[in-house]
Amino acid sequence: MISIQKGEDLLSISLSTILSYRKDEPEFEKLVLDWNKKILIEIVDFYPIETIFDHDEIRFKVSDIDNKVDLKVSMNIYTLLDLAYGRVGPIKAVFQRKIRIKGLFKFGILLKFIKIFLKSMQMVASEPNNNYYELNKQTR
Amino acid sequence: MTETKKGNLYERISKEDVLKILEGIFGSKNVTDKSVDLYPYSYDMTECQPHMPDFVVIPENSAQLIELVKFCNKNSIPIVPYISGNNVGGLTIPEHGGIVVDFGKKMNKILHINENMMYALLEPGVTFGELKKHLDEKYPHLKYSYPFAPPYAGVVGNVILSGMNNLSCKLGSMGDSINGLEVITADGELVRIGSCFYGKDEADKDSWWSRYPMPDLMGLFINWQGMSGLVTKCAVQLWPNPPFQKTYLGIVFGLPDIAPVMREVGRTEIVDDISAVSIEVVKMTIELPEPKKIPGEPDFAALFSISGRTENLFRAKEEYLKLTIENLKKQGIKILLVDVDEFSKLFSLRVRCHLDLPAVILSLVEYSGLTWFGSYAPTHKLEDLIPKVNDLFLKYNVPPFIYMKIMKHSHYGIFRPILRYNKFKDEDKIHNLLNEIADLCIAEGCIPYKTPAWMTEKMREVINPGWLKLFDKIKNCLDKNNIFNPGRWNT
Repeated sequence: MISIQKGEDLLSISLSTILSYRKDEPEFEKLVLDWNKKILIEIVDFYPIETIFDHDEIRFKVSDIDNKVDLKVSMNIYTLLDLAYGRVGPIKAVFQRKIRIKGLFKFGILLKFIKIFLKSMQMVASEPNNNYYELNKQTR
Repeated sequence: MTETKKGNLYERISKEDVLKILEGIFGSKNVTDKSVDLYPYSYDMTECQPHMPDFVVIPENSAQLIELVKFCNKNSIPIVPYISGNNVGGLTIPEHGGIVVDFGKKMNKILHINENMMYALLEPGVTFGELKKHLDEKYPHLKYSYPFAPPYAGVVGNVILSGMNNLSCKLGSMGDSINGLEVITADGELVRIGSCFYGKDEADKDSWWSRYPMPDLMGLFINWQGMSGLVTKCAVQLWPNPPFQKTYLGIVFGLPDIAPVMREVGRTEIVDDISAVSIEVVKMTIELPEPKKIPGEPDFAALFSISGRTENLFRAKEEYLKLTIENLKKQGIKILLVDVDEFSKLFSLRVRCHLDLPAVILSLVEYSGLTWFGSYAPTHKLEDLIPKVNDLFLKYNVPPFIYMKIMKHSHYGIFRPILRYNKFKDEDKIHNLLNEIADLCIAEGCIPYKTPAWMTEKMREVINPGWLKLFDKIKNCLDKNNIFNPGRWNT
C-alpha cells in the first residue's frame, strides 16, 4: 500500500488528489514503490513543488526552483488542464514549448513520470462522477 | 442552562393560564413550556447571549396565529418567529422571553407555483432544499436562486432579511424578488401586500405576481427581523432554468486586486453570480480547518456563473467574460481563469459545495460557533477593506475568511468576514476580532444585515437621527406594545 501525504498547499492538495486516485491500483504501486526520485513541478504563476517518491511513500514539499532533483517540469495551469483533458499530448506540448523539462535526456525517469503523473491526471479528469461523497464513502 | 429573564411578562396573566390558552389555540401537542424543549430555541451558533423562551408553539395556519397575536398584544407577551435557527445574528433568540413560533414544522408548504408569471407561493417554513427538490422534480424549466447556506435553511427568512443568492449579480438583494406577503399585524389583522391585495377574502393563488405599483407597504416588513408583524405567506420570483450553464473560476493573486476583478466582471451584465472567498477558505473546504497561506499561493478564488438559452448566446457571454479578464490582465492584474468543473476534479471535488447550492459547507459547520460581519458594502471601498480586514484576522491568529459578492451588476457589493470558532473556548477572542472588524467596516460605510442587537447599537451611534426617529415612530405605530421580536435593533 502506497501512503500519500495529504497536501496543505494548493499544489500539493492537487497532486495528492491526482495520485491518490490510483493508490490502490497494483500497476500504480509497482510504478512508484521504491522509485526513490524527486520530481520538481513548477506551475507558472504559482510556486515550485517537489514530489518525493520515497520507498512506499509519496510526500510533497514546497521547494525552490534551483533545488537539486531528478527531474524538473514546468508548465502553466492551462497546459496542465489541456494535458489532463487530452486537448494536447505531452510530446506536442514539449515541442510547442508549453512544457519545459530539465532532465529531458533522463528518458527512464521522464517516461516513468509520464506513466505515473500524466496517466493519473487523465484518469481523474475522465472520471464521470462529480460527487465527492459518492466517490469517497468513508468521508465524514 | 440559560434561564428565562424574570420580567413583568406574566403580571396580567399567569404562565399557567397562558399555557392553557396556547393549548386551546394550537392543541396541547403543539405547545410546550418544558425546559428540555425550550432549550434548543434559546441559542444559536453566534456569540449572541442565549435566552430561554417561555413557550414554543407549532402553528398550522394563519387563523391560529391571528388568535395568538391578539392574545399576546393584549397581554404584552413577546412573539419570536423561528424557521430553522440557521441565521447568523441571534435573530431568533428570545431576548425578552415570550413565545417562539416555530414555522419550520408544519407551516412549511409550497402552496402554489405559477409557471406563467414564474413565482412560488410559500409558507414561512419552506426550506431551500424542499423548494429545489420540488422545482427539479416538477418544474425543471424553472429555478430559484440559492445561498451559501445549507438546504435546511428557510427561503422566506432569507428573502425578508435581504439575503443574497446565486443569481445576485443579476438580481441584487433577494428582498427585491418578493412579489407579495401575507402578514399578521399587532392588532390581529391579516394583511395582503402586493398584487394579491385584491379580494376581501382569500387571495386568488394566481394573483401574487407583482409588488408594484401601489404604495409599497412591503418595506414595513422587509429587513425588520420580525419586529413589525408575523409573515405567514410569501411569494418569491422564479426564473427560467437555461440549458447552457457554466461556472468559471478566477484565481486572483494580490489581495486588493479581487475588487476591480469583481466590479469589472459584474459590469459586463453577462454574469448571473460572482462570489469570491479568501484562498484559505478553499483549503478549509477540504478538511484543513486552520490553513495557512504560503508564499506564491493566490489570495482569492472567485466564481463567475454564466448561462444562456441558446448555445450561441452562451458562447458569446463566455467570450466576453474571457475578453474582460484579458483586459484586466493588461491593466496588470494577475488572474487565471479556468473552467471550475475541470479544475475541481484535479484539485478536490469537495470544492463543488460552493457550486452545487444549497449545500452544507464544511468550513461553516466545522466548529460549534459561527458568526460574521455580513454587510452590504460600497464596492469602491473594497480595495481598502480587504487588506485591513485580512490583517485583523492575522493579528488574532485566525485564518482569514472573507466572502464577497457583487450585486446587481456592480451597483453594490457584499463584504462578509466570517468567523468560525469553538464556543466556550475562543468566544472572547472572536468577539474582540468581530468588534474590531465591525468598527472598521461601519466606519468605511458598510451596512450589516441580519444584524445582532450589539451591532445595531454601534450603528445607532452613526445613523442619521432623522432615520432613527422615523424608525422608532413606525415601530411604535405598528407594534406599540413591542410584542414582535423585542430587542432587535435595540427596540
